[in-house]
Amino acid sequence: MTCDEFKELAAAYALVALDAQEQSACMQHLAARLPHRGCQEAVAEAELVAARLGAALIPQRPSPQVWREIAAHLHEDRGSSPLADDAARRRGLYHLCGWLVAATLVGLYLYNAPLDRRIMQREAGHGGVVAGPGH
Amino acid sequence: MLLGRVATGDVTALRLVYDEHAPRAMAIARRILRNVEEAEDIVQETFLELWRRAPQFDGQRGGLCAWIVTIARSRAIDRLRSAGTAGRALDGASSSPDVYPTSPPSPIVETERRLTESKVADALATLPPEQRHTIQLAYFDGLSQSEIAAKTGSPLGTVKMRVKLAVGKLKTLLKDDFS
Repeated sequence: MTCDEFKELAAAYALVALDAQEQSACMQHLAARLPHRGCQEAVAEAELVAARLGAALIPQRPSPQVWREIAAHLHEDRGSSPLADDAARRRGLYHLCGWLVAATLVGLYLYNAPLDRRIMQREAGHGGVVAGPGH
Repeated sequence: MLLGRVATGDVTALRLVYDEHAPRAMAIARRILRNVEEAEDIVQETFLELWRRAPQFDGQRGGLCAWIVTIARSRAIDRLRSAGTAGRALDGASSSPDVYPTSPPSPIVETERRLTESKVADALATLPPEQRHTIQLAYFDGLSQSEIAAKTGSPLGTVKMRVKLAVGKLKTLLKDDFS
């Protein structure tokens, strides 16, 4: 399938109005790693039209049971989900980085505090010597 | 961004997305499947898919609402076709909308929806009757082009052309709403 052939079908593809064979061919074309000429854009535009049509329907809140089931699925998956593991790992890494930065700052402060005091003392002493001959 | 938080595994963020967009997913699923329980299954599947695929969301391609509606609609149509229930849709196709809110929406949301509904209705009204009918059968009843051809007695090539032309016109007419 060429990009031009695909674009002919893009509207029906976005509406999920193609027959199974054409739908599959379109999916393969979109997934193909070749220099597309506006295929993704054509689908995106048609999908926006489709979403806009859907927005005209009266929204209906699903029963509370639907969210409870979603939450239960997430709870079950959380232990084994690579997404959850990644997120947990990422959060752990952020925490570790945060502690390292904090420790570095505290270390620098503790190192610089006595140094600052020594410098101030030295300057005070040096200032007294310089001021001496003038008087 | 909310979906960015979902992508990092934040369930609270998913709940916020769900509260905002689940009613739209439910509306389109129920319109296609004409069954509350099946539509609720679709909503559940949609948000679990959103949870898994959140890192792949491409904001450049369209908004979150468009993405969710697309997922819900695709899944509803898959179920309609795989269960062999297309006949039911064919029989009842293009009957009046049978969806009602289970709880009254806020005045702002309702006003916005009415405005959108009015714009979409106006846009559909500008289409030639056969194109409008084709879009209604394809979008709101989930029929494929072949099924539409069989139902209307029109050649498949004609149906394909109607879909293409209608979506092209709607894109132009609803363009301002996308910005």
